[in-house]
Amino acid sequence: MTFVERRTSSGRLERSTDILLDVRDLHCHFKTDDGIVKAVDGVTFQVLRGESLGIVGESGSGKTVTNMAMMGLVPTPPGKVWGEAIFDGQDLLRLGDGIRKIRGRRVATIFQDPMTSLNPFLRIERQMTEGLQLHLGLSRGDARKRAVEWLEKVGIPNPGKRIFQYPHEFSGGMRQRVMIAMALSTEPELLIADEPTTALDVTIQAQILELIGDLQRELGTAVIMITHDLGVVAGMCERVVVMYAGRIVEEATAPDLFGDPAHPYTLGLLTSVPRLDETVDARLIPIEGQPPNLAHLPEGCAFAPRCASSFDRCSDEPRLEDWAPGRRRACWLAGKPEAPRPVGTASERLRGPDETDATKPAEASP
Amino acid sequence: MLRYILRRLLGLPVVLLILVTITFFLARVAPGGPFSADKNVPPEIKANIEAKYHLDKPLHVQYGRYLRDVVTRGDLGPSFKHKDQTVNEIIERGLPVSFQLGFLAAIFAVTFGVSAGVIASIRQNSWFDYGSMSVAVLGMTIPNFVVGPILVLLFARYWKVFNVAGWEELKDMVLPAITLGLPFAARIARLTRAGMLEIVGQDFIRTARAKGLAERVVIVRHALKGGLLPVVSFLGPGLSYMMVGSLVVERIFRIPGLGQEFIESALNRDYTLVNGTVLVYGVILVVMNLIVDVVYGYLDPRIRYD
Amino acid sequence: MTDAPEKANAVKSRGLWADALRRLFKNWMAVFGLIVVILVSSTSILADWIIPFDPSYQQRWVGAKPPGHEQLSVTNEVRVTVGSETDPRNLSTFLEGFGPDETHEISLVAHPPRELEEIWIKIYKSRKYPDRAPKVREIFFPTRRETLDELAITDPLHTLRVTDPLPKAIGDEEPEPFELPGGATFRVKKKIDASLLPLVDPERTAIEWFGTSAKLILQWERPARSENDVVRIFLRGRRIEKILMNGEPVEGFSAPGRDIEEATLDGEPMVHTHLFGTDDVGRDVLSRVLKGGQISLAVGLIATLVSVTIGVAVGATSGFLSDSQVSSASMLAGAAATMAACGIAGVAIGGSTPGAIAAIVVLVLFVPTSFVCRGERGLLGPSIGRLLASPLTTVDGLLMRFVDIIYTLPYMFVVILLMVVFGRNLFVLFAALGAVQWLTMARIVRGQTLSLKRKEFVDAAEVSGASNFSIIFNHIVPNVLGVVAVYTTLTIPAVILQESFLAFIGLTVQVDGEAVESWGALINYGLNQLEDGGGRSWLLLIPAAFMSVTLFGLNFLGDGLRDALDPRMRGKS
Repeated sequence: MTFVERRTSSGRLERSTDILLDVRDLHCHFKTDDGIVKAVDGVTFQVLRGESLGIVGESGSGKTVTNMAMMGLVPTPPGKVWGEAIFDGQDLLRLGDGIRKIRGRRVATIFQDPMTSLNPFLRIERQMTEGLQLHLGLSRGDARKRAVEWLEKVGIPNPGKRIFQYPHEFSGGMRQRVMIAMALSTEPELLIADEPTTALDVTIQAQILELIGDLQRELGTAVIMITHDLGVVAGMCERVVVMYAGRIVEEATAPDLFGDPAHPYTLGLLTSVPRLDETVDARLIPIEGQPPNLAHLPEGCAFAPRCASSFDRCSDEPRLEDWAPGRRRACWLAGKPEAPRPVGTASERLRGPDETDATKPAEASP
Repeated sequence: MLRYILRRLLGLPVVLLILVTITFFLARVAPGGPFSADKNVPPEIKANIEAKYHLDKPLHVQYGRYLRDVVTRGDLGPSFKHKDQTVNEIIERGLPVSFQLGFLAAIFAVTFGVSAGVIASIRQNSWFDYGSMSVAVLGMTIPNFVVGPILVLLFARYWKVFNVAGWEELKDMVLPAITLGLPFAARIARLTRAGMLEIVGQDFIRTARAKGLAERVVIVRHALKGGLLPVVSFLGPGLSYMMVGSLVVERIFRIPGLGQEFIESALNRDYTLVNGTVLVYGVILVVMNLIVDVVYGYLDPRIRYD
Repeated sequence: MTDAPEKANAVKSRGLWADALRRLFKNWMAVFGLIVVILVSSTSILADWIIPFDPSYQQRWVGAKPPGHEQLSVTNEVRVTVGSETDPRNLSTFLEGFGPDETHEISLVAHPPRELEEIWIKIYKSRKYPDRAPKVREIFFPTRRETLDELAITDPLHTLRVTDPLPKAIGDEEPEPFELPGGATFRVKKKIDASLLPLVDPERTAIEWFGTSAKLILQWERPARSENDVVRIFLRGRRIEKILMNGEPVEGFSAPGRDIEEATLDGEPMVHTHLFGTDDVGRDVLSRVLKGGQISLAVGLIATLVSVTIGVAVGATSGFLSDSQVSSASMLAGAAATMAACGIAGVAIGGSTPGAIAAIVVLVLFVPTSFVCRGERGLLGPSIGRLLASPLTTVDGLLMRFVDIIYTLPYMFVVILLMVVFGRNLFVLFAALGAVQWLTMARIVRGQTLSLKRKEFVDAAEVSGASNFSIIFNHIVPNVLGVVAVYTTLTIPAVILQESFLAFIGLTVQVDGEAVESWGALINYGLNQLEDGGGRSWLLLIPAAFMSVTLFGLNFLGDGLRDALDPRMRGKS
């Protein structure tokens, strides 16, 4: 049983076992010319009511596909999805067309690029009211009223007028606000935010994250925050799942994960990001090599070829196992991973390899 | 938008003036007049005829007179070859027929093309997709002066389901409309399919699906508008292809339309009639292109006309 | 596993063209297109050698016959030996094979001469055209003057001029007289009035000959090519002993008392097969379609080559020389000026061939000049360039409007008008079609050149001191060739289609006053020959099939090439 700390609206911590979404052994494979791409390969995690879960990983690690596969948004063929995704007692993967009653009503999604995620040919009004009409059975007029309220709530000035505009008349941040309003206006129990801030300016990013956080607290909505940005996770999420090559490699609460990473990949992620609290000369340690080709995964641990701590057992596939209370990881290491040797500071790396050669003997054998 | 339409309409007379001028002088400078085929005509009679049609006057006077008649009275002059008929009468007779033909063909093309394209895009890589797109390639490659005669052979000569020629009843109209519409149906189907596939791959379609909308609503409300944009922008040039096509189709099915009149007048050097028909075609083209632009602007809110 | 990226980089790098060809051959539609194109073009090149018949040779007596029709064929001489025990008075010989422009020479050899009593030459009226009949103009009897009086004319419609002796009056060689032992030789030359020839229905034309005879010699004067004549020889009620052809006995004629319907020569059937049938005047459809294809392809190829040459030269030059302000507008302006120049030149010389050539010369010269003169980097240097460019720039806007107008009209209308005004001359066709095709090509090449120009290797060449000329022809042109190849293969079918369109609506191109019958004309003809119930459909279907397959092939090949050369596709799959 997973125990999770949860913050109530009053700010008090409490324990909850109320599982909203239980994903078990989810797979999503794609048939391509190169072979079968195992985009998601046996993913298991839970989301509790009102909780916010972060899913972190490089691009191509299967974060987005996990989300799409759960929600039945993966086109089949070429995709093939199996496993279980039990949402409030119903397996989303076995609902067939019935999943439409859950999509948009009980589970809403915000996508990465607000520029392309809104239909450029339809007015905001139409795009917002159609979900309300469909799911809440409102009339067009009522739906519009509600949509305007929501636009106001997400901070769109003059919403009564702007609702009749087209997406291209909004800025990127405003569009993402519209997306949020659209997603939350049906008051869903789970909000999946798929890289909601990646396409936005840094200042706007913060506003959007704050907005999502505020609304989450207000509505008690659970949030799955899919991102490659550790900063976003740190600020938003209580619990974090780290994905690599279609599998979960580590799961922990946010403080545990950032303070005490248990998987070499998580450690690599953390040490490759410059931190504001470090000095300029602090060494950055990139993860060497490229994310693996999902159609031709290496035998055993997918991360082993890039892992500084890999050893002979890594040729077997590690399973995701409990590691500490409330923590899971998939690694053969007995203890915690050692931090790899720093390769250079950010400023040194910018100067190019010539000057830094002496400092990185580890790179000599590619 | 209104200002844009007005400005385009204001440009129309200029366009037409240049068109009239070009065709007028092109026709007049050609060696051999309209009556040069009538040999053995005594010179005095020839002079009489030329006087009747003002061909004895200097070129600029003829031009000025023609222009004045066209502008003030909409009078396109008498036909040189059809005795006792004015160009206006001939056009009034032929234009409705050509319009009907074009209209029927357009309805056929859009109905078949869009539905085939949409279905093919929804069922990508299905037998329907492959089948309809192969037919579309055939329809685009085989010229309509091949398709038309073959349809005549099969449906009018062999099975006698439809009529060979004429423009009286529905049985006359089916084959010409199909012949004229087929290449457009084919092209529209391909454009629709490509457009729909592109749109369906867009993020906002994923958004619509994530809202829980039924697939039908996703396609009709969210995808169709954008998916049809390439079709709409094809309608502009498509219209001129259709005019050229109607020349052939009217000839195959002996339809007494404007296209037949144009070819006949061109072959007979009936210059007033040539000028008249070209002028009418020009007006239709300019107006229809304007309509297409306006429709495009309506469909794609990102387009601004200022 | 760590060397995965290196592996990816180590993929053997292929040349652009090798890569493209490999992709092309994977595309089976394109391969089909390539095969069709090779087949069609080789048959067209070889058409003059491989077509079985002269495409304009008419056999009216044959009429329209479906594909696979077998026609008795003859050589120049057929001898029919009739059994001597038969009563020659009942012998009537029907000769078929009276086509146009032919002189038929019939030698009647009587044997033994003593028994010959009279000669009747009857020319029956045609059933098809009963009110008219062929004329027998002259009959020559080189010897046996006394039988002249006994020559009877059975139909007053016919005039018979008898001259004797006048062996060379017709201007042909005197036929070799047949010497028979102890016999007299008769030679009859009959010339049918050419002006009435189309009306002759040869099946109804018969020469009857009454008399005792051992041998009947029929001789044709024909070009060697037209051996495909019918020769049906009806020998009514006679027993035929033997038929000689060119002195050789012909097998298969021995059936006594029957009409001859089959003949073999040296065991080979004396039959010519019309693979795709004949048209209503007996022309061989296969030959006509192949010849028509030759014309269609030639038109397509020449017009395309003209447009490609001009288009590439102008496009590459202008693309390379142009500064940003020299837009495609000036190119359109050039085209407009070209069309105007075409018109003026054409008018000046009365629409004649030299006029059209002059127009093309102007077309070729004017437009490049307008580019060359423009801009700082014009070939003439900055000062002269600017001097010459300023009036052009002023006119630019006006010309643009003009071009808009011309482009408002579907350009086939313009081509029709041009063909009507300047005549249905091959050069006018090339000029009219080429003018527009050339423009498109130039625009494409120009765009490609402009983007190439910004590539680093061009900068490198420029920095290293290469001349403009060498940059264009060493760096730009080879890189543009892909686009050109694609567009060329797509232009050929377009031009073929346009020419056939014109031919279909009646604007056949004429060479030396003769209509050149391309596929479009043949299809039009086939349409007009259709009968209820689908009769004579082969006249339509066969040229239509040839044309469609060719257009397919060219389009597939062009599409395949485009896909193969598309740089975005490069290295994929």
